[in-house]
Amino acid sequence: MIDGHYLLRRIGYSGAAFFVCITITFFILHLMPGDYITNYLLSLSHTIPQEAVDQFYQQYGLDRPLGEQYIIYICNILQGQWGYSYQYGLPVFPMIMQKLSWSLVILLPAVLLGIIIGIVLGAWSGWRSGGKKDLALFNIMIVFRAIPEFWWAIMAVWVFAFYLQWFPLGGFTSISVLISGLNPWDVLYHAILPICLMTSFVATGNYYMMRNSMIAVIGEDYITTARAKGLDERAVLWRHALKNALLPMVTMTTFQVAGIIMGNVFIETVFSWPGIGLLTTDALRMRDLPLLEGIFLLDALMTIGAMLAADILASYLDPRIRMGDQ
Amino acid sequence: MSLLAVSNLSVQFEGRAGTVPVLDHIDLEINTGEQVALIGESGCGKTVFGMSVMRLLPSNARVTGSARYAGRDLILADEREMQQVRGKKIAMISQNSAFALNPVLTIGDQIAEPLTLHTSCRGNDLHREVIALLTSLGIERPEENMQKYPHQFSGGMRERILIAMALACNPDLIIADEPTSGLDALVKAQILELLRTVMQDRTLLLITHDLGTASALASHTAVMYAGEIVEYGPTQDLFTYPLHPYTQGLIAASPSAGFHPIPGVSPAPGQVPSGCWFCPRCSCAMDRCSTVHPSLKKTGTNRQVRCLRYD
Amino acid sequence: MTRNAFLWISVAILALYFTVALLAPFIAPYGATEIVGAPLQPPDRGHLFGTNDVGQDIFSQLVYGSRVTLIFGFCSALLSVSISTCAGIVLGYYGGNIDEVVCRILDILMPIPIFPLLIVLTTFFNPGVVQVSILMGVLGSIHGIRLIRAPALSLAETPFIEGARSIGATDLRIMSRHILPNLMPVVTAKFVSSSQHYLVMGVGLSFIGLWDTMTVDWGSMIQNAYSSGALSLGLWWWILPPGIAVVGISLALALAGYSLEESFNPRTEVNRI
Repeated sequence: MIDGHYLLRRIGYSGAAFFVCITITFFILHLMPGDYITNYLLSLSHTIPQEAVDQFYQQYGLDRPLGEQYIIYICNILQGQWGYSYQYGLPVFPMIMQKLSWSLVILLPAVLLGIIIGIVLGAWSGWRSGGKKDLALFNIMIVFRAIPEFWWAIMAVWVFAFYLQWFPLGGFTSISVLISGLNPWDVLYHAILPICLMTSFVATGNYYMMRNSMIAVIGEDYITTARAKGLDERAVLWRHALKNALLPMVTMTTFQVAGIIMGNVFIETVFSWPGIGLLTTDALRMRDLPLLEGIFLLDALMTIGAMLAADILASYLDPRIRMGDQ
Repeated sequence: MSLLAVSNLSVQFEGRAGTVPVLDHIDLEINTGEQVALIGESGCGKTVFGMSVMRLLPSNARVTGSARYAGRDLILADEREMQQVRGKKIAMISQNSAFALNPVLTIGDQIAEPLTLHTSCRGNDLHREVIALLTSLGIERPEENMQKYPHQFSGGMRERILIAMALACNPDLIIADEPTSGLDALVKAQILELLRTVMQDRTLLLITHDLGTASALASHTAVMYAGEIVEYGPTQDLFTYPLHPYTQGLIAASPSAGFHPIPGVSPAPGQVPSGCWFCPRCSCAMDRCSTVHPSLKKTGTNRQVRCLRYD
Repeated sequence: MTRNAFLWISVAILALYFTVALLAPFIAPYGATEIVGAPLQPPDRGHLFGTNDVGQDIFSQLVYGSRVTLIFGFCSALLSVSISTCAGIVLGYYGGNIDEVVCRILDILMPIPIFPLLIVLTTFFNPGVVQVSILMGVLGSIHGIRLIRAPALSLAETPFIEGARSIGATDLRIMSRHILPNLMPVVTAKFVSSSQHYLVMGVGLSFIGLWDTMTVDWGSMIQNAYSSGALSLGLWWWILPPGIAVVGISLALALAGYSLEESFNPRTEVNRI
């Protein structure tokens, strides 16, 4: 049984975190020189029709006191009314959702593969820590991680797409799509290189955490107890070390969500992949504040949600948290 | 007849700063049915001794000498052979019960583990065996408790579980490393009483810094100082007529004798003085003591002591 | 090679970067935005790394660009680590209610993603490099507070701090003279790893266009070259120098960080088998 109080507390924290985010975006919108609506309508055309102004004033309650506006804003956010992009004149929420599905084409396989590869390599390396093979792998990982994501992406494009011509230079589909329609294989062909890169970023992050976790577990007394029972090394690893080393990973993996979001921006920008990352870069270059705020809220939802999910999962897996006495 | 005969056992640890000797030429015999206590201050190498017999030291430990058990030398045995010895022939009760049990496995699983490994006991038999073990160690409602995780038990209960785990395969020798550390006085007394009953007909190597524990459980006692044995004898004799100045100091420092601490501190591993290692702290040191390193000599019928005064 | 050798090599590399940044006007033959030759010239004697699409000298841009990159990385790391250290020590030392309340607030703030927040805030304030690095430092400090608080808390309970208090040392004195020096290893390691992290992030932010196009730094140089198709046109001298410069300093900082961490925290590198 999961302890109810623990669960409620975690959900409370997550809700509070999201409200802090909403508050930040609300105040930024309201501190802007000139109000949001005028800015938005001006970005669309030079003459502002009075009906449009009235409609927006009503929707956002701009004639009401600040406190009331804040409540209206929060209600709007919760109902999926995330404002309008300056640059495109479209509502932000559906736009972001559409781009998100493109990002997930890369992120889902990359994150899953990355976590598995990172954990397997990290567990192996930590179990053999101090050995020659472990140190070699560890040093390779240090070097890999020290090189910025966008530089890896640029170099990958240069080598694999430009010189070797194994993969396309960027984008998500070929020109032929105009005639034949969107072809999943074509999209996959364009996605392979970014997926591989993203996978390796996620894998290196997990590798470190898993290696450290494993090294910590190896030093524990219960590992000695297990050996003293006469278990062979494989049984000690599989029965006693692995589960203990994996438990903290459930929570630690989610600490990377922020890093994954950042890496995704660079990868999509370099590969011109039409997801959230490329949208972020576009919006930043155009100084499209409402759109950037929408992206921030989405990112916040993802990190907060991931952490909440991890806390619940960890409490389900770890008997010490499950029983409610920590 | 000796069950375990350790002779000339030395252990060194290789580290960044070079090689650090931890145990120096240890000779110790444990006969079947004897309970031998190894006592000394923390850091004198007594835990390392137990671990080296079990061959559980980290890979940077260099072990020389021999530990003969049932016709073979454990120090030279390969890993596969050792796995057949550990848990089945020689079992260990680790110190610090709070960390010695795996937090994510139920205690029933952990107690059953040596049985599945070393015996053909399976299924219902295994279940009955675990329950019998738990009952024999005074754990109530065994059916219910074997489904629980270590953190749900008190320190005393965890100690009982550790003892159950060690006794599971009915081993020839049990190495108990500080079995009462971290327990409050009342629980400690209970555990000592329990250990006394279960160890009565068994062979035990007890590693402890606590003289009370040693005199309660051990038939023989070896005193260790800075990685070497300085005195050995039957527990009763040794505590009544301690020969070595260090043993005398230990007894005078015990709470019952009024807390008279030995002046100075034990030397760090690898930084022992020349001559007798205890000489700088010894109240009855002679001139020779700072130059001549004494050897462990037999005195009387069954006592051994490492001190120049008894030469 | 030992970790110590790695540490010294990385310190030497860092010193080189700092010298270049400090002495930029003496090292760079031209100004950063000065148009000094024909566009897209390959490297030759006059232009060590060639010229870009408008005829600016890439070597000079690289030298001046180091200033922006280094300022961003080290300023934000310094600020963020200072804030975390002060807050962590105060929380750990006083404990009690303040500690409880601040930790709860930290729990709430922890999951908020800094990177998109920083983008939103910079878009709103439209600040210069130093202001962004201050912003980055403040936002980034949230994650370091707990790292410092935990050891500060256990230090505050040790007998020698009790002793200092009993002889009448003031709280401020205890925190600065007794607790801080003991935490220096953790703080130094955190500073080095943060500067690497923020420096790379700064170049990345500049690569996706955080600063106006007039600011010359490695990120905007790479962005400029990449979006103009330097790769597909084979103009390697345009894109490689800033990239290699970033990789160089990032590697040096990463190696320094790991060697420091290992020397301060010598996890016994042993295992059975």
